Amino acid sequence: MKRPLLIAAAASVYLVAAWMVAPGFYDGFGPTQPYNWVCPPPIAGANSGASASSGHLVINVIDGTSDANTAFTADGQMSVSFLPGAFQAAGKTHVTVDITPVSPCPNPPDLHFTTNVYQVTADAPLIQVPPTTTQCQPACVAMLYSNLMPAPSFVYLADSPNGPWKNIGGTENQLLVIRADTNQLGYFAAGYPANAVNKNSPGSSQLLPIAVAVLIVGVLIAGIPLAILRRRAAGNVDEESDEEDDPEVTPRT
Amino acid sequence: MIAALSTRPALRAAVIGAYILLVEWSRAVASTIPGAVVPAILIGGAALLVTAVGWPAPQLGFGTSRLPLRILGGFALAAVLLLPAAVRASEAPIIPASFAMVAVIISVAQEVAFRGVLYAALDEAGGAPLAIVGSTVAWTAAHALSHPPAFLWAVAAAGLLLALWRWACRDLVAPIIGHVIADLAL
Repeated sequence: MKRPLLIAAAASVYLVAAWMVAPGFYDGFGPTQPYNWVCPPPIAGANSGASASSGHLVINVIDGTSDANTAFTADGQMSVSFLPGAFQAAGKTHVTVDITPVSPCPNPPDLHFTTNVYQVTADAPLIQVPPTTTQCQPACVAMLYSNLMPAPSFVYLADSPNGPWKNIGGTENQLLVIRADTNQLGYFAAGYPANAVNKNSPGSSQLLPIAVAVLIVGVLIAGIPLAILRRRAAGNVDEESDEEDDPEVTPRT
Repeated sequence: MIAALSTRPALRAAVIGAYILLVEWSRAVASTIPGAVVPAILIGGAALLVTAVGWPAPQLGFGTSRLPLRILGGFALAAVLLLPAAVRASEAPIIPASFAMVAVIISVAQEVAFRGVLYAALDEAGGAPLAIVGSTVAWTAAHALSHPPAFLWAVAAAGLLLALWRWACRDLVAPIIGHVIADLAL
């Protein structure tokens, strides 16, 4: 019985240790993506990083047409790209764009944000054309996210940090970066609906508990007959032997 | 050198341990390069599997005797490893589906390297206690570059659990199954 007890004790130690740092046995496939959180999630732990950075850009305007350019935060976590003529800039010589991480962190009840929230402002409005999905028309945002968090499904936009938040889509052409086109500036964050599942792994948030439950039930259902068979087989040799309770799967020599 | 390694189990275990750590740390560093994650995992996994060359399968814990029990044990280990994340599913990071195959490769390679070859080498050098403790320490150290320090207690506890199973059941099949399922889920 000593060996099963040791394994049970080790399992208990693991459960306690894993419970202290969500999600537990996260083996990962490389270093966690550094992310500078405004409001670090519990999982970030010591990986909270430095303070999230802001960004500033001055875009030249020639004959009323703004140049193409990209504004980005100093840490590269948030960028906004503009096509030529993206702004209604008649009479201006330049357009100033600012990106600022928002604190305190908005926490809408119907959404889970997996990035910081950034406020993007400009001293000229964007031209009002229907935003495309992939052509960055008239502007597009790209948001880095941490692989410590579930991958976001969409980029959300709001006029105020209190919402309402509008889904402006989201595509992922680069690992750990979600992007979306927009014809409006304001508050941006990436995340997913609170009642939805992650797009990279459909049903995963519900699937994991179900999978573990199936594993446990399967082990119990299959394990009991196997244990009974083994006990009977061992009992034919020596009912009182310590061997009969040993879980060893390979025969001892 | 080869003669010395074959006649001195402690030296052989030390060389194997150093090699495995070097591979794992190199993989962690290489993974920081954009676009290099998958190649780093594939090359690192292959480099870990190389350690198994020349070892008899039974000494590494492989075998087909009582296979249902081994498989069942793997499911049980997976359930334990995933239980904390399952309870808090919304906090669990999800690996992209495209990473599934490399997750399987690296999980198998790590088990073969740590609970297979390194465990066997340490067992020869100093018996089961050294094998359990040594493989767990090496496993934890291997994750030091790729995980925040707060994670390392859970990593160490998982390594200890898998090493104890390896010792108690003389089996590597169940740790491989448990590790693969856990990595696929997270």
